[in-house]
Parts: sequence; structure tokens; C-alpha cells
Amino acid sequence: MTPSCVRLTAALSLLLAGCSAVIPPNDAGEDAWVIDTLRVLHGRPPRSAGEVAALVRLARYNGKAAVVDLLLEDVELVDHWSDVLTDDLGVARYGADRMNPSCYDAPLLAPVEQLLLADHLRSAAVDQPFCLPPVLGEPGDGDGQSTERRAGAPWTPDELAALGATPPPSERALAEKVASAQAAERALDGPLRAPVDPAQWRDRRSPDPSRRVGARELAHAPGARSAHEMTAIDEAAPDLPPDPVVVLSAADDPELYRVCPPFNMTDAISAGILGKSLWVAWRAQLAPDQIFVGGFSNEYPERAAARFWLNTLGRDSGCLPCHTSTYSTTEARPRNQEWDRFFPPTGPAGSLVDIEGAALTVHDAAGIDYGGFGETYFDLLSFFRDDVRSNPAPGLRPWGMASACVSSPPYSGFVTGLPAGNGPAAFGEMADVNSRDALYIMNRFPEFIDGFSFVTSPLAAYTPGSGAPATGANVYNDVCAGCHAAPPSFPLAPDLADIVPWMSDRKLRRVIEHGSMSMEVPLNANQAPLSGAEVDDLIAYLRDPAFGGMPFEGPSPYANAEDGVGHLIALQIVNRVVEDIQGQPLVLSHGFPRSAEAAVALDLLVRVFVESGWSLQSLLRWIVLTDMFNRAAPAETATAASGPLAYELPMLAHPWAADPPGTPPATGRDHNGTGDLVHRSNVSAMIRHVHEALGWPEAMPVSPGVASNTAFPWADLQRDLGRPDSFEATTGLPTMELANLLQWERAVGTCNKPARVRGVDVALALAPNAVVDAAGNVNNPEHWIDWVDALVAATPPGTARDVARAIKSRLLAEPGLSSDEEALYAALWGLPDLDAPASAVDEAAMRRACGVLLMSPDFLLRRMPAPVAGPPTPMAWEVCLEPECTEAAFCASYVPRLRELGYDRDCSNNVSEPGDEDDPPE
Amino acid sequence: MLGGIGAATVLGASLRPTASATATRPLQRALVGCTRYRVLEIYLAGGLSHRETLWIESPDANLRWRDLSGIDSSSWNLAVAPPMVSDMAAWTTPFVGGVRFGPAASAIEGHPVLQRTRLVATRHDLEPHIAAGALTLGGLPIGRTRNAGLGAVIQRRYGSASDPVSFVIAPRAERTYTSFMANPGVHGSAHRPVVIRLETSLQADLLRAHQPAAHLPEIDALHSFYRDRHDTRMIYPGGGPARSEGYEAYAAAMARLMRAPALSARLAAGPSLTNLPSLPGSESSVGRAIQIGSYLLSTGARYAGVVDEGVVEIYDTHYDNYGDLRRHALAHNGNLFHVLLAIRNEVDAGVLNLDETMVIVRSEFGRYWSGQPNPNGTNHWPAGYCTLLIGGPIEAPGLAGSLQDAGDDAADDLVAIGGPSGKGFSPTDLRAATLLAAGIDPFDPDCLWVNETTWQAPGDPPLDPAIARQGIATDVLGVGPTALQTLCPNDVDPADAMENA
Repeated sequence: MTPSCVRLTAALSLLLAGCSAVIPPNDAGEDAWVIDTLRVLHGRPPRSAGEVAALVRLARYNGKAAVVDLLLEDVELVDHWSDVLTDDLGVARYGADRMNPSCYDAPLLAPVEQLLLADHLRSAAVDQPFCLPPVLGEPGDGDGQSTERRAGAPWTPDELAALGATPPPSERALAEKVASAQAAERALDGPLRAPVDPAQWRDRRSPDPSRRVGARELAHAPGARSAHEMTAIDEAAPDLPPDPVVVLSAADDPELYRVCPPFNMTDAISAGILGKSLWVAWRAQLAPDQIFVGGFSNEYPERAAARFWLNTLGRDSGCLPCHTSTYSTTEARPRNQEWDRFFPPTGPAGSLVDIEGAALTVHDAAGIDYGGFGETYFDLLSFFRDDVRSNPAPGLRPWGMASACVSSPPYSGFVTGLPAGNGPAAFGEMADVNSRDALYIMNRFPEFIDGFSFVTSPLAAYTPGSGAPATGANVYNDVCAGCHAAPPSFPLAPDLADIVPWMSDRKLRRVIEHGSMSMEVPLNANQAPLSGAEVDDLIAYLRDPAFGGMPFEGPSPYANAEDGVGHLIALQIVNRVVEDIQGQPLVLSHGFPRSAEAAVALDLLVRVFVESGWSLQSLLRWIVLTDMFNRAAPAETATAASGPLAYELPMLAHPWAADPPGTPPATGRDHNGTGDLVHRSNVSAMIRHVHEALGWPEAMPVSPGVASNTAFPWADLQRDLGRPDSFEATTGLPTMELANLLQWERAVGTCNKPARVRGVDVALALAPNAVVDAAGNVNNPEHWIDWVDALVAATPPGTARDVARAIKSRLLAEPGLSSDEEALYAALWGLPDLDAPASAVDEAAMRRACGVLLMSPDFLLRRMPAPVAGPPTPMAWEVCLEPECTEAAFCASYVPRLRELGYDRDCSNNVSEPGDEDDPPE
Repeated sequence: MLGGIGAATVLGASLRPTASATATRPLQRALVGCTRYRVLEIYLAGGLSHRETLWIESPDANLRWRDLSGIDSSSWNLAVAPPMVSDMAAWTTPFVGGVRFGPAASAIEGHPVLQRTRLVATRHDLEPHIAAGALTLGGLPIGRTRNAGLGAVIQRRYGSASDPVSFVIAPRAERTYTSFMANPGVHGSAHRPVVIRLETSLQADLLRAHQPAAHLPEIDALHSFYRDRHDTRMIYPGGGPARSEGYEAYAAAMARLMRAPALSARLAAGPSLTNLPSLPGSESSVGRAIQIGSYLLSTGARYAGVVDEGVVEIYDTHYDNYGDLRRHALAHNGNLFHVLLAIRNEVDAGVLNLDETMVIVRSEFGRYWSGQPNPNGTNHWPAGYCTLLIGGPIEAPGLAGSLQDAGDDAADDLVAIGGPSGKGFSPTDLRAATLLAAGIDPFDPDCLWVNETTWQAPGDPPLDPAIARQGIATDVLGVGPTALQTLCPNDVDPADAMENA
């Protein structure tokens, strides 16, 4: 057994630090907050009740912000959120369509190197390889900064200065910056002021269902530019100059390879977190997104574009052709008689983001006519160019990224001249890089999403065209009226009054020239295509009020297309993070908030995120410090007198609860409550959670061997827990149903480590006899030692009760046992009671109890907060995988980092005894 | 014809009270006074082309259809192949009202199944798969609070969290339509149908074979303790349970897990749960799913949903169909053939009782002849397609509405007409009809509103729900006023019905 696994402890410093502190009404208490915050920030349960106690006391003495700042600075946050964000990026990790696993496997760089990588991805062109500064020296020279991975290694300010890396600002500094920016913005007035009150949203909505966007006044803001002008601006952007192709591999140039090590996407994602510039991860992901096509090769650009839309911008390309701002999923048309739920996403200046995608106006570069589908989606087909597939030259690995990230196993070799299986493909030579390629977007990324200043451009407005409406009337009567005259005679021909006001001139032109989903062009074999002048005239006619035309009233696009893209990406990231935490997204597809409250919350959180430079930590900090994060269970604080209304929360998690306006609200349906926040954790958190709880090897970001059902976490488990399993990021059923529990019970129901749990150095440390196979898999379950093994052999002997408490404390951070509970454990173990010696509880019995706890709502869900525990009683044993796990030990480990963060913490009075009631300082 | 409902479900414990707006009603105990049909819903994911699977007699209809003469029936991969013929009359199966079924219907030609089939001309205006699928399987468009799968409505009415009476049998990897079909919507997560994915590990998982059988009672007792303990935190001191979709889903899943061995035993007595590739005869993937669904219905289930992704080929084929008519026709006729053959086989085997069960075969839209966006592709066509209703209250072949040629060569396709609006029937109308057949008032506050059906004309005064119910029964189901009374139109509670009897 491993000596550190179980330690005998006398008492109970580790138990919850009392419950005498004054807490806000309906707050679930500090202990619940600590447990939940650990789950959110580090993706794991507490390691012991001592950890909870130490963090609770820190919160009391130094404030909750101190706890958050401490946890945010820990590398555990990087490991956990790298895994979660990999899912958020839509990476398919298993199944036939899985993306190249090596690209998402263990990081290739040490954390300090990842920080340097963040700087590089933030500032360098794609053809500039990432190289380590000379100060790093030779591998193994003792300077501790070699290119070898140093898992969990912290960095010092001196190291960072020596390396030339930009130290990430502290979360405190970022929080102050965000607060300051928001205060300044609140001082603004006029149309650029963002809506902060849900009522404002309703006020802005027209009573006429077909006119609900209500952007007219904004669309005519001074200085607005038309969509045509925007396109011209975009097309005038200079192409990148031709550059030499960079090809890096160990075989090509060992020295260069060592100094300029390849990195994978795990590094890039970690770099985005460490560098507090999360957009660099999304920027880097464009490379594997572009190469990983899946499916049929002739659908390459379409699929690449689909990935971009779905994973980066949060739009489903399958819906996009119809569900634009013209035809919204929230039904801007009069179709929805029930309730107007149309909440357009905001831009940072209160403007509206054009859902039609005028933000990306790269179109028809390859001269491909895609017929009548939605223009923007097919514009992207040229953005992800088809022609690079046939480029015989070796491709480019952006920034020297690992070749695994820019090759696609099913199609290796189809793009480049390199041998099959060795093809860093699909980007083509830099000479081909121009403003219509994804590489161009990568190069421009820093400009449009690194900060807020770019996202304040004036709004575009309708600018009358040059056509003659009287002539256009003739065109209309000859060509259009046959179907579109009211009432429409053709089944799928919409009433133009329903759609023309919501179609930009550009969109109108596109539909007239190329058709739509419902309208083919030409309309019949005998019809000649309309000339450009005829189209101009027709648009002028459709717009001119003198002829009964309808001006454009749809959402106004950004004048600067790239600003819009940047904002949409930020919105997508924020929404995914919120969904990871509260179990429900804030928006529907396409970035539309689901309620007025969600619109306001999204607007606020996107501001927090962008103002902080796209810091995940800032976003998380904001969320876990809100009052909504730690509400008490109804049974704990509600009274019959106060009733359910005591639990009113904004409609952020379950917006569909409300009845339509005008309907008498039913109790509990016109607001959210604590119950709406209960949800199952996402798949990455679940897997990490169980690894951590059981002391299994560190969960890997992705396991190359998990495509089948023979290794953990097997494919069906991942599928049933909702992990994306295809290039389109199709998820399973991310809820809890029978299939989930069946798989979960098979995986963890007896706490036996499934075969081929794969781990890194932790596994070797805990299991000296483990065998590592040729593929690097630790695959020796017989020799595996976990804390259950250790508990069996724990000395000196205790009672069965001690065993039960140790298991429960480890898994639920809850060492107490009620009398009913004791009886159930005794029955499970075939004992008359828990006074029996611990030796009566064999390993299999312990694992049965362990498995039940891993399936309990307290473990499996972000659950309803538990009631505050009663007075602690001494524990005999504590499962602890660290050398020390008392409150005092945890506190002592926090002090150095807290001082760096500016918090003064004294642990000398930290060892509390039963009955100790330390109140926080006044 | 009587919908005997006798068999009780196997699973049985109760669960915490649901937080849904309407209380769960007890499982139907006996059929008294009115009929509540079970429902087998078969969803052809991707849109079935009715251009090739139907033949509507007209001088110029379906000209391209004649090219089918070159089809090699062996390509259908069937044990029972349709006869090789060279002319249209032989290739098709006469139905009623100038409508003939295409080659797929050879599976049921001359069979009672055909005699209890009703074609419903269906139409809506949503083209994307996701939106149309959600409308078709949810009964209402995305975004409506009451959008929910039919199985959840039936589960809430007739079952409880631990008494699953609704099942969705899904291909191993299909996600989207399975989600729609299993969507509990406003009915609450506790009423989500049980999703059965056909894979080899399912039986062992249901048996909980990885747990020591001798200790399962004690294990489940401890499970119950922690679940019940959490329950107590969810209760308002002065009221009922706090609404929590997430927790209801967990609690229902846990209740079902504890009863999983019973479900396993029930399934073990039926068809194999192993998924199948396309094999001869009814041994297709969809055939197996229909077998399992029919079996579950015969043992007490009230709803079985089956998602069919196609056997010969997927339905959603945008590529090369227009240019290669045979491929397109083969795919759609072959797929539908497998579905109909499986229904026939289950009826012949006495497992699927059409006196007790109504089968609904549907897709999210049709497909039409047009090269868009690819020159040889066939695109979505929501303006006119068909839904098949088989058995249950349908006693004779019939048509509800009709499909007519649009008359424009460039848009040469079928348009739904008929029904109260003259534009065919909407998926919402079909949801109403199916609920009526299932013995559930379609206008229950958590189901549909009258003005969401086509019986309520825009701008007219609100229609009496009783009139709408009558219209649904008459127009869609083809039953008269007397028969309507056998459909529990006012959702008479079974207990009340027994008392009245």
C-alpha cells in the first residue's frame, strides 16, 4: 500500500468549520460554496474535509474572492478547463470520425512554455514558428526550464521576465479593470449605451410581431455604413505577402526541432488559459478545423465551414440557410402566436450582431456558384478553400504546430506531396494565402478580438440603391408577382411583406440572382437571367415606400466585419462556459438569448470576458462570486410564509418556465429557482471527478485508445454522457437518463479501476509495479493500488464505522453518518452494525459502498446544497492522497501564493477543535 | 375492434411527486367506455420522397418515375423481393382515390395492413431538417414551451418515472431525432421515454451484471437513501417539490436503474437487442427495431418510437439522385419496403395487434425533383408529403386530403391540399389526431391549443375544442361522431370510466 494514502488522524480539524457565521438570506453557506466552487474551477470534489475547512476559513478571513483567486492560480484549473474547453471546441475524441487524437493528447510543452506559446499565438503570424528563447538552455542542464514537460511546474516572475513572457495579470487586477470599464460605460448615455435592464428589452420590442427587431433607430445612427461599403472595405484589405513555406519535423532539422518544439492543441488551449487570452486557443483551433474534414472529400469546404459555424460561432449550418435574422428560430415572423421570444444578441455598444453573417463577407472567391442557399454559409466554402486540396506542395504548419494537428488520418496524403500518414496538409503554400483563406483570418485575429476597442464601430444602415423603382415594378410584375402577389399563389412563396424588411440589399440581391431554398432561379427554362440593372431596379422597387416597398429593418451588421466575428466568438465561448457551469446555455443556436434576463446576463458576461482580454479566469471569477451561484435548498430556508417566492432567481437556466405575458403567472413558473440549477456535470468534469476522487491516474485530455468499447472511458460511455463524437460535434443526450446510469454503473459502480485507465506520472508514482505498454498505456489492473486497497490494510485497526466514514468523507466531503445510514451500510456489508472491526469489511464490500456514493446525487450532480452538518465527531481514518490533508496543512500550502496575490493570511490559529467558533474579523 | 389494454407494465415503484404542472395520472387499469390505442411511431429520418413511393394518377405526373423499369430487385437486399415488372401498373399497388403506392407497398399488397392504412396529406413550411424534425416529432415548432415528444405525453398520462410505458428504439449512433422523440418538454424529465439503443452490451447493462447480484437489494437500498435524502432538500416547506429538470431526470433514471433487471427480463423474452445491418427479409436494422417496439407494446407499453435512418441508403440524399434516378428510387422504395414488411411480419406473427395499436409512419418532409444545390441532388419538400396511419381507429383504406402536382415544370412536385385550411394537414394536426387515438385530450393545457391546429382559421373567433376534436377524428382519422366517442375525447380518466361503467 502507499503510505500516504491513509493517515490516522485524531480529530477534527478537517471537519467543517462550524456553522455559526452569519450568511446572507438564502445563501447555502460557505461550505456548500467551497464544494461547488472546487467543482467548477478544478472539476473535482474536495480532497478532504480539511480542504473544505481551510477554504471556508480563508473565505471568512479574507473573503470569497481570496479563495477564488487562489484556486484560479492553480494549475489544476488549467488541466480541468483544458479538457472542458476541448469539448467546447467541438473536438471529436472517439468514434469513426474522431479527430487526430495525438493533437489533443498530453501537452507537449511545460506550463511556462505554454505561457510563451500564448504570447506567440497572440502576436505572431502563422508562418512564424514558435521557438523557445535561448535562456531555456539545453535539456537536462539543471536550469529547470528545458523543453521537457514539467507537469504542474509553477513559474516565477523572474523566470517570466527572463523568458520575455508577458506575465498574466492577476485576477484582482483584471477584476478591477473590468469594473472600471463597466463603470465608465454606465456613465455613457444615448444609443450606444447597452441595455442593462430586462425591461429595456421589452420596451424595444414592437407590438407588431413582424417588426420586433426594433433596430430602426439604431440602424440610422450617424456614420453608419452600408453592407456594400463593408464588403468593399473587406475586399480592399491587402493580401499577405508570399512567404517561404515552413516545414518542421525532427527528421528535417533536429536542432531546429529542439529549439522550436512542436505544440499540440492541448498546449494551445492551456496557453489560452494560462495567458488569460482564451482567444488564442480558438485561433489555433482553426488549423485542425480546416484540415479535419471527415466524410466525403468532395464536401471538404462545406464540412470545414460547418465546423467553423457550429463550433466557433455557435451556428448550425444545417439551420442557417433559413434561420437567419430573416427567419429566426425564435420566430420573428408572425408564425409564433404564443410569445415573442426574440432577443437578438447584442454587440458591446448596444448594437445588434447581424445574424445573416455580414461579419464574414468572403464570398465567391473560387467562383463557385452555390445556387440559392443562404449566402453566408456558402460564402464560407470559399473561405475554407477547396483548391488547397490539390496543392502538390508540402503544406504549412501554422506557427510550427505539431503535424498531428494538421493532418487527417482518414485522408492523409490527399493534400500534400508528403507520404501518406505524414502529411501536414491542407493549408497550401503561403503564396496562396490571401484574404479569402482561413489563414488570413488567423493573421487578422489579434486585430479584431484582442480587446474591446475594435468592437465599437458605428452601425450600418440601409443605403438606397441606384435602381429605378418604376422600372423595377415592371420586372416585379413580369417575374415575381406570379407567385408572390398577396396572397401568395405558390405554396412556398412567402408574403414579401414578411421577409423583405428583414433582408439586406445584399441578401435580396443574392436571392434574386441565385434563388433560395424555396425558389429556384431561373424560375423556368424559358426565363432569361435578370441583368444587373434589372436586379438593381427590382431592389429599388421593393424598397421604395412610394411604390409600397419596404425599407430594411433587420439587425444592423457591424461596419467592421471582423469586429462582429470577434464578438460572436466571444459570445460563443461565454455561452459554452456558462452552460458548463449551470447546465443550461444562455442562448439558443445562433447566439440568441433565451430570455430577456439571459440577454442581459450574456451582455454583461461577454463584457467581463472581453474587457479582461478574454480571460477564462475572469469569467469564472465573476460567475462563482455572484449571489445566484450559492443559493440554498428550498427545504433549508423557505418558510411556509415566504413560500417559493423566496427562491426567485433570474430566468437564466430554465427560461421556458414562464407563461406568456398576459397570462396569470403560476406559482414557481415565472422565475427560476434553485432546482433549475441542479444538473449533471459535463462529461469531462464527470470523468475527471471520478479519477480525482478515487485516486486514479490523472485523466488524460483524450485517450487515443478509446475509440472502441474496450478501454476507459469507452466510447459508449462518452457518447451516453454527451461528449461530441463526430466532426460536427454532435453530442449524445447531455441529460441524465437510464442509459447514462447504466454506463456509469458499469464504469464506476464498484469503484474498480477499469482496464486500461490511462495515466501519466501519477500512475507510476502510486503503482510502482504497473506496466506501461508500448503505446504508453498503463495497463496493469492487477497491480494497481488505489486508496481502497490502502484502506483495507490501514492500521491500527478501527471499526466498520471508521471505514464508512473514511469512504464517505473522501467522496462526498461528508464524514458524518446518520443512524439510518449506518444501518444501510451494515446491511450492505452483512454486519449486525458498524461497531464490527474494520477487518470485517473486505475490499469488495468497500467497493460496493464506494460505487453507491459515486452514483449518488451528491456526487453525480451539481446538486441541491446539503444542509450544514452537525457538530463533528472525531474520525479515525482519513483518505488522503497528499502527504498532509489537514486544514492546517492545506492552509500552510496556500500562504505563499496568497501573499503573491496580495492577501495576508495567518494560519497560526487554524487548528480548530470541536466547538471552536472562529468568527471572521470585524 | 377494441383496444384491449390489459397487460400491465412490468416495472413498478413510485417516485417522488413530479414538479410538472399537472399531476401524473395512474396507469390505465382497464379499458372501459372508450378506447386508448397504443402508438407505434416510425420516423423516417431525412425525409421520404413521396414522388417515388406514391403514384398519383394524372397525365403528366411522375414522368421520370417510369425509369424504374431497370431496377434490379436483388439490389433491395430482401428475401422477399418485389416482382420484376416492366410497366407502371404492375409496379404499383392500387390504393384509393386515384392514388397508387409505389413498389415499396408490395410488402403489404393484399395484406390487411393495407386495408387499414390511411394516407394523410401533410404540409408545413420548414425546410431545415432540425426545425422540421422538431416540429414533426414535437408537435409544435421549436421554441414553444409545449414542444415534446409523443412518448413523453403518453408516459406522463399512463406511466410514472419507474413505470416506463414509452420507449424509443434508436440506432446506436443517431442523436438528433432520438432527442426529439425522447424530448420530455414541459411534461418533465421524469417522463422521458426509455431510450433503447441496439447494441450488444445493453442486456448485460440492464441486468447490472457488473454488480454482485447477491448484494443488489442492499446496494439499491443505499441508493434510495441518498436519493431520498436529496429529495428532502427539494421540497418547499409549505408546498410541493421544487421544479428541477436536472434532478427529476436523475431521480427517474435511478428509479429505472433499480428496475432495469426487470426490464431486461422483459426484453429478453422478446427479439434480440442486437442491432443489425441490412440483411435479407425483416432482419434489417429498422425491422429489428420495429420488432422490439411491437413486442414492448404487446407486453404493456403504450408508446414505441423507432428512428429509421434507412436500410438501403439514408433518406437525406442530396447528391446524384436526380441524375441517377434508380439510386434514389431504390433507396426510398427499399427503405420504405423494409418498414412496411416489418409491420406486416409483426402483424402476421400476432405481436403487433392493429386493433390495439395505431402505427404512424412519418418523416419531417418529402423530397422533390430538383437539382439544388447540386446538379443531381434532390432537395427537401415540406409543401406536400404523406403520413401513414395504420390500424387503431383506421378500419378502412382512406385518404385525408390529397397531393396534387404543382403544375410547374420547374417545381414539378406534390402539394398537399384538403383539410380545414385547404392546405393539407400540419404535423400539429397529426399530433392532435394521435393524442386523440391514444386517449389523451389533444387540448390538454400542456399539449396543444386549438388555434395551433388548422381547424382554427386565422382571425376567426376561438373555436370550440369539441368541434376541433370532431374535425380531427373525422378528417384525419376518418372516424365518425359515434366512433369519436370511443376515443375518449374528453380524456376521461380510466378510474372515472370504470366508475361510470
